[in-house]
Amino acid sequence: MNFFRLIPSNRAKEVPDGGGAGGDIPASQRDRQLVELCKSGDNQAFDELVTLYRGKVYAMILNMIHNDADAWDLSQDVFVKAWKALPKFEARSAFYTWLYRITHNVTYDWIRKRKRVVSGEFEDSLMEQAEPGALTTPKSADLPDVAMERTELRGRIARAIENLSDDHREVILRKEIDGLSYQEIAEVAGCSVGTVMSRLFYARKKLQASLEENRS
Amino acid sequence: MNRKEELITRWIDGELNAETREEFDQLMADDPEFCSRIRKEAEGIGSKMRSEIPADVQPPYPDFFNSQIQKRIREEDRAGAPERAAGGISVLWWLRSPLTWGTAALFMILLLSRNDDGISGTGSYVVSTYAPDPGVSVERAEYDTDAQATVIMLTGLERIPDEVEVKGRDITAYQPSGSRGGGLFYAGQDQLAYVMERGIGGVPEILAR
Repeated sequence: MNFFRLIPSNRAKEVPDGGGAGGDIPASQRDRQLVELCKSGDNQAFDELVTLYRGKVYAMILNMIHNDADAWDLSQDVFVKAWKALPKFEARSAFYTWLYRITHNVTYDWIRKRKRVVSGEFEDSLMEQAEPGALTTPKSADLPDVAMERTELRGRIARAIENLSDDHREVILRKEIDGLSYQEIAEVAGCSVGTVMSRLFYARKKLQASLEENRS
Repeated sequence: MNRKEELITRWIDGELNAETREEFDQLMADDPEFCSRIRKEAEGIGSKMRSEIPADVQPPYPDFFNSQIQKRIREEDRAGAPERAAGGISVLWWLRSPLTWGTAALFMILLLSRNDDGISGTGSYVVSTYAPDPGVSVERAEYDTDAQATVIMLTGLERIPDEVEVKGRDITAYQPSGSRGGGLFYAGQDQLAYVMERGIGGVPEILAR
């Protein structure tokens, strides 16, 4: 059942470094203030954090699992876990990398459970439910040939990314889509910077090969 | 991944430091075409990905999304209430023992169990009801003459485990005090048991004697 309607967001630039709802306050400072309020039991402050980060968290999960209903549920789990873990958050890292780490754990737990059920095979039906880029493309404004070309490109990229391993897919998405640094990706994925570089290198190599293969 | 590949990857992603920069400059000088080709390919992939994959997608029904999280947090907090109550608020000590679990946090009803000391009518007299959780409301709290018991009807309350025994303390007299609906509660022979005051928004606070 796919009754959810995907809603494009205008908040992409707000998180993590755009100041967002805090106006002129840097995002890191705004987050720190909100986190402190949350720690004192302020649910409203947490609600604000949810509003600021739900688009990022939902997109990260959706881009990994391509199922909007599950992405919705998992995003909920992320924030509930974050709320429970907030008293232990010591601000050694930025709030958003900490939150993305939770997102990583929740997503990988789901993927592991899912693999046990479907034996790791990719399901075409999942791709039909939510296509990467479906939100950014002004479909109605495209001419038919342009639209077809975009759909083709989107399909090629989706297939190429889907053919990557979970680890490679995650690292390339964090780098190219979320713009995280090596260090931040390492924190989120729970691995070394060297591993991040290696995964990134091979992910690009495989994507390149896959895109060329699809084109031919 | 060899050293050459590592250096090129760092270069593409702007992650060269002072040490690797020098090493990379040498590599670039030796084979500029190779480095540029790898970079061009990587940038092409990145650009295609960014044009087709959103970095930020609002979840469907975003307001509902937030409210569901708040609901789940309240449920989690409710489930964890006994742990916190152990070091909790002293003014509510009288509720702690019989009303542990979620019930203590969910409603508070002050009533006089008997009316021997001047309050008219028979049975109990409900002085005040209050449910801190907006999901719980007190539908009815009154003395039922047929049952000879005070009946308290709540909606929105989670199932109370069978092992939890809901008890109260016999209050024999009540004396209103203050202008905001506070009062003094007596047990037995003029023994002051509780002092109730109304705080911000009319929220009752019980000051135990």
